Amino acid sequence: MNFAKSRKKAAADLESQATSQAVIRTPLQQAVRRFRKNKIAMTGFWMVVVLVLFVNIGALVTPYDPDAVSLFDINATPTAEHVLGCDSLGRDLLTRILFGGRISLAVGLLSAALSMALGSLVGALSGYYGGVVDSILMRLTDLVLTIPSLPLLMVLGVIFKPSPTFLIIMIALLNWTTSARLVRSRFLTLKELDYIKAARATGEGDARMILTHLLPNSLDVIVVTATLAIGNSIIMESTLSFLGCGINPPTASWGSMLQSAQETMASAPLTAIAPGLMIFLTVLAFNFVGDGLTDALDPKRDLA
Amino acid sequence: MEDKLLNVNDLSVGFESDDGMFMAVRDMGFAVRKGETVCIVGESGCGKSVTSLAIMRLLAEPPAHVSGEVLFEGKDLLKLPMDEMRGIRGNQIAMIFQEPMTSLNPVFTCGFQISEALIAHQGMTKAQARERSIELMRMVGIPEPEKRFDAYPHELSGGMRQRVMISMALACEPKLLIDDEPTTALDVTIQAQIMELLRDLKRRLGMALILITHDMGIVAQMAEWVIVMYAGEEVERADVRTIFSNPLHPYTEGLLESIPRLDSDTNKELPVIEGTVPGMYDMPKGCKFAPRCKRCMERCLNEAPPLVTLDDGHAVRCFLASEGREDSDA
Amino acid sequence: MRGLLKYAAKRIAQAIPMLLAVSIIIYALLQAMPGDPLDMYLENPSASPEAIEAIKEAHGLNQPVYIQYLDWLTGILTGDWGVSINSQRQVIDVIGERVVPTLQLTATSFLLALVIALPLGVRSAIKKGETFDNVTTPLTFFGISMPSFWFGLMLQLLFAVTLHWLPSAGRYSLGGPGAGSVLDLLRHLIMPSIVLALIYIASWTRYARSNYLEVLGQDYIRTARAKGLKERVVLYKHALRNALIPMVTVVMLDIPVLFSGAVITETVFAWPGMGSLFFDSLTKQDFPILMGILMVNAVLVILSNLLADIIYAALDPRIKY
Repeated sequence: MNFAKSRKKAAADLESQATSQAVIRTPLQQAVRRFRKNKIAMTGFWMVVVLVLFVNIGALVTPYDPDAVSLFDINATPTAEHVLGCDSLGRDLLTRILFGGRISLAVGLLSAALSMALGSLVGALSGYYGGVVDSILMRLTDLVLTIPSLPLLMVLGVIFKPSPTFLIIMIALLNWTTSARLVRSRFLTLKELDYIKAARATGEGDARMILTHLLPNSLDVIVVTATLAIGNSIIMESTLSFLGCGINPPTASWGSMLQSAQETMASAPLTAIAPGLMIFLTVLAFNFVGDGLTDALDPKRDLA
Repeated sequence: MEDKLLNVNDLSVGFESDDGMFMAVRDMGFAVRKGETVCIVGESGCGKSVTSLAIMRLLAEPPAHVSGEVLFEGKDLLKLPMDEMRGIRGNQIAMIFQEPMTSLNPVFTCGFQISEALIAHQGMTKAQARERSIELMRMVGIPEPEKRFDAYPHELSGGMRQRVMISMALACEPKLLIDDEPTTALDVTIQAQIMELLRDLKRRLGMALILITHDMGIVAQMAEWVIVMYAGEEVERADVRTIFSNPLHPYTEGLLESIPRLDSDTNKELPVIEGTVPGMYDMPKGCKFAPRCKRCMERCLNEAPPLVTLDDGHAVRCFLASEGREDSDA
Repeated sequence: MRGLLKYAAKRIAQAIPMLLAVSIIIYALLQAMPGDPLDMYLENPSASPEAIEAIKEAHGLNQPVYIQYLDWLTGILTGDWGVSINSQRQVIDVIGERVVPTLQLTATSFLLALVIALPLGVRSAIKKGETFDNVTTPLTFFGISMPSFWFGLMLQLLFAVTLHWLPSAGRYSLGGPGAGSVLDLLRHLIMPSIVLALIYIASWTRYARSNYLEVLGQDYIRTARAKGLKERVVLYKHALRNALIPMVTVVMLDIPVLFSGAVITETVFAWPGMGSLFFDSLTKQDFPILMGILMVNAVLVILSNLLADIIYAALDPRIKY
């Protein structure tokens, strides 16, 4: 017994000596490392952090009511009190940008999360069960893809005069197809791997198989698509709100603030520039992060 | 020494990575004479393919960094301007790759892909190139070459595709042909046919051959001179008889023991070399083979043995061989 | 060729149920629209109940919904797309006169995007990690992150409002020297077509780059180099042919998206195409016109899907149909 132990120890010593300077990292550590070395990704990451803090803290600190109309301040140029000036109703522009930002970020993040959940569910069921379930769900996906989504959202926006919550659901309902397809194809790949087959052979239930084996191994795909979907959702919300089919005045969102920009931009250019620049920077930040995650997690990598 | 066709000296190849430079090939040095067959043997991941790609200058630099000398008929290929190198590739040195399934361009016909080299290097017209290509296809044993000329790669079997690759490589009658595991991806019967074909062609055309393989059976059948590689280094080189009759490196011995033999006891398990080739993160600091070596000594773990040439050009990288094998038993 | 035709016929047959399903969904949603299109007649005090009844009768609004749908569907197939509630004109005529302006805009943007994106993507793949790529790739991020309506507003602010270089909206000038000429049209076309093209320039460049990089890593590219071919031949013959095939699919599938993108661009620039017609009809709740435009768009999606498949099959020798 003792002898075997000492021989084992000797072998271990030998190995540790032989594998000098070995650097071994878990896949997650490798991904984090790759992400942190990516300048674009880190820029995006810090932009997101700053934007989220700016909008949320700013909205608490600002002395103005975003909806308070002031006849004396109509189209006021920037001053010490109104840093960005005021809009055509005399409302403080910076305050509206802060409050509008909260709405736009919330709509973007939540509808991306919701569409991701929906897409993962459809993709998981489709990929796991295959057969009839798969063909029905995939036909459904094709169908949603066939519907021109922006015009349809515009129609829905006019019909339902949506609240922010409703808008989140509407955007999510038309945006889940990408993630459904990606999760499905990941599941199909995973199902062919030996350790998944082995787990299945031990008789684990379907729910357990999906939740403990397949879904965790699809997280990279889900995270990457979700991040890229945030930017998309923010653009969609702002476009709809701009066209008057999304967030409705007087509630501020970056898109709805631009609704009358075309008339006011000659006299008060900041009312047109500032909200749009915020949308652009936010979407850019999330796309930077999404691209960095794609490189770091490499969702197309070999699974075997 | 006049008959040396290729002289490789101190060839090293490193790859840039996040964690610094990874040396895939270290200080390789060997020669190929006119009409000779040299086999480079070793497990996958030991740097065989990288060596051949470096000779052809087909590695993307960066991430690859190639140093040393590759003298082909006295000219250092590594220092040649790219234009001149292109004139040599496919013309004087040709190469056949491991994967016939993916090595042919799927959107061009096989015939077109063979003709290309002829048009580029020999200034043939399309019609001349077509005629010559069909001739080549017939020579490598492709049935109905007139019909196959217009076939796309996906319409042919793996064996047929590898024959197309061979006829492409032979198009300009190169002086040196590099075969990188030409039969690994093929069925055993096709393997034998292709090897037979290569041997026959080599005899007829008088070209030299560098054959990269992990199969000692192929080595015995084809080689005149053998280089055994391990973890990016030459560990032993000798003529084929010496390698089989008097292997000095424990790794070479291991490779030889793992060949099934007709006279071996079928009840006994075939010996294997335990473990795998070290990767970038677990490269031993002493002898690279030490962790897997049956005769590993204290010294092997801390000190890297040099490549020592014994008699007749037989060289080996092992303390046991260079400083007397008998000592090890003591 | 006959095989290809048979394949096309099969794909068209598959597309029909899909179109029907889409038409039902769209019809149902538009039925749910609040605000009866007759509101404006009801608000008119001079409209008698009989007159209102007559209008309802004329539009078939007294029938059950599914009958109305079937009527509408038969109408679509026989060229009777109904009557615009707003202008009392045939829907097919109202939409028809908007087709040419929309085609002018979308085709210009499409070509612009293609001509810029392909060379840019391929070149930044070849120059991966070099200055050209290091400038192009971040720029494509700007393109995909730009809300197109805001980009349009900013161009208007800069080139029309501030610099007065270009007309801010419309398709032709209303009067003055050269109004109505081709040059006038082109001047009006510059900003909207750039705005509409921007996202495709960016996303196609990205796709072309990554796709071309993938092809460059293939074994057959190494074979071509080992043959001693000129780098130009390797890059632009062996690699490009392979990279173009999936590119065609992506570009084709984006065509209908380009049309729905035109809704935004045309609205911002008051371009009198189908997109601005859609927006106007939406605010006026002109249901037959909305229905017509949505259906045109759905047909376009299915058509471009079909075309993408067929072109792919024709280009790639590996595809059997």
